[in-house]
Amino acid sequence: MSLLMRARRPIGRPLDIAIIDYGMGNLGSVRHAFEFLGHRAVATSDPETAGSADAIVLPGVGAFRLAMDNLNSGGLAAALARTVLDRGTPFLGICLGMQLIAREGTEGGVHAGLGWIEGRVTRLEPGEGRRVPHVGWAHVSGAGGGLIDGIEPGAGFYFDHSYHLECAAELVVARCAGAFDCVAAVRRANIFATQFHPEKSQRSGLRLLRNFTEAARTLRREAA
Amino acid sequence: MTADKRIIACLFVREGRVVQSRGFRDYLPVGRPEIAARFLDSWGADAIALVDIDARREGRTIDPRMVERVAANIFAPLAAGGGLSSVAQMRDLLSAGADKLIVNRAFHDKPGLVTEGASHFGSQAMIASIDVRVHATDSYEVMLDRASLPTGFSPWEYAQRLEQAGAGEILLNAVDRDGSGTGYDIGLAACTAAATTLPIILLGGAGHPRHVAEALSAPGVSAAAAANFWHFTEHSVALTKAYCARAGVAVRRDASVRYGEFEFEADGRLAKIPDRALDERIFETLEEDAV
Repeated sequence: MSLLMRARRPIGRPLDIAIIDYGMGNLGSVRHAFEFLGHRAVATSDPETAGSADAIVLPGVGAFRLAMDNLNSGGLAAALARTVLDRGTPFLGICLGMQLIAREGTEGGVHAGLGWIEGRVTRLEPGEGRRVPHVGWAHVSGAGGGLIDGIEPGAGFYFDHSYHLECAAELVVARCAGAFDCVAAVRRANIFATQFHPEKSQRSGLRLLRNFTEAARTLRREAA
Repeated sequence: MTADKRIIACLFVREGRVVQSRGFRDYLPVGRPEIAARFLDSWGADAIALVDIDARREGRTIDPRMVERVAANIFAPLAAGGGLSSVAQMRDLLSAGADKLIVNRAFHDKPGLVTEGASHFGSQAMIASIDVRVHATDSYEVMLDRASLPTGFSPWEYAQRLEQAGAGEILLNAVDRDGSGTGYDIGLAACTAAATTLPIILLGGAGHPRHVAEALSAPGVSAAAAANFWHFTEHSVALTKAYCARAGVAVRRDASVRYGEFEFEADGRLAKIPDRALDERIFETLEEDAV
């Protein structure tokens, strides 16, 4: 065993990953993770850069309403919808980025989300052994729509949230098997999203991001 | 269902170098923070907390460039703090790659800062660190300025105020145990946890893997943090996790180093493998960990 981790080189050409910069949290970690895996990642708020990327990542932490205001203000929300929904560019939403694709959020009043999937975002209920915010590592159950392929059973992923997504069961590809039983990942065609932070989940998270880039490669090939 | 408890590595920094601290008074240099963080990350630390312990006194904020260097070397959650007194400074640290902010003195001087930070970045991004001294049995007081300045507040009063202010987690530091290696103050954690629904990270006193296992078994403790304990021992985090797992405490163990089959000596160190077992391993190939 080595002291420090390294990444295998990607099979095929490196992908261009657009990480959407809309003023909501730490983009550096996501970019760093994709670069570690051998891809080219750029943080951008430019619809054209996002439109020409091989895959789009929407990270983010913070308040739902502020995030939607930021996405709407520059016409970014409409541009993303054209790219992801109409042209089928592979998409990964992370944490708040997963919640934003729902129809509505309920943090400080009801606010419209991107509406790419039918669902709503509600506050986690604290209880015995369940402190809110839900911070920590948890196992997940489910195959993750291909995202969890090849990752050992019992691997942990890092969760950090006070709100969670409620949506139709057929969209859910993984559930959190920790203190909270909440949606951990959803998939609809080219749209992938995780409640946990793969970029903060060490080896398992990096493997998941590699699965996403390989899925993106396959989706693009099929579309071409 | 229960969640895995977290083990957190604190890196306390003076003049750009990680130090070990004893009683908030004596400091022993360890090395560069980005190197320490990289190893602790690969050994499976569940989060890393980087704090510049001189920043407040010297009237400055932790260097965002240092935060950036550390963030670029790890794939685990990173919290950063030291001298924070404005939302603009918080944003600088988050842009540099921190996921969470640690405030201590700032809450006392300007309670609204935690509220303001939470409204900008979410409660989950706000860790409130409180330094607590024991006066007599069950008599605890929150202290400021490296535990030299009393506040008159008990930790449970303080925890409630922090929760109302919008903090997301409490880093509870038993300053009498700092650098002592005599074990965590479980009683402090219990009475503070009873007053709040926020996750409690307990710090101060780790000197044996058993201490970490005890802290993580205590009700109300969401995470055990340590600083000195992780330094100068190869694979320290992975060893402690192996010990905890053997003690029946659920911890995440998917790092590339695990120590599942090893035995421990009474002092918490790894037991020597018998010579015969070593002979059998001479030509064993260990694969490089490639993600």
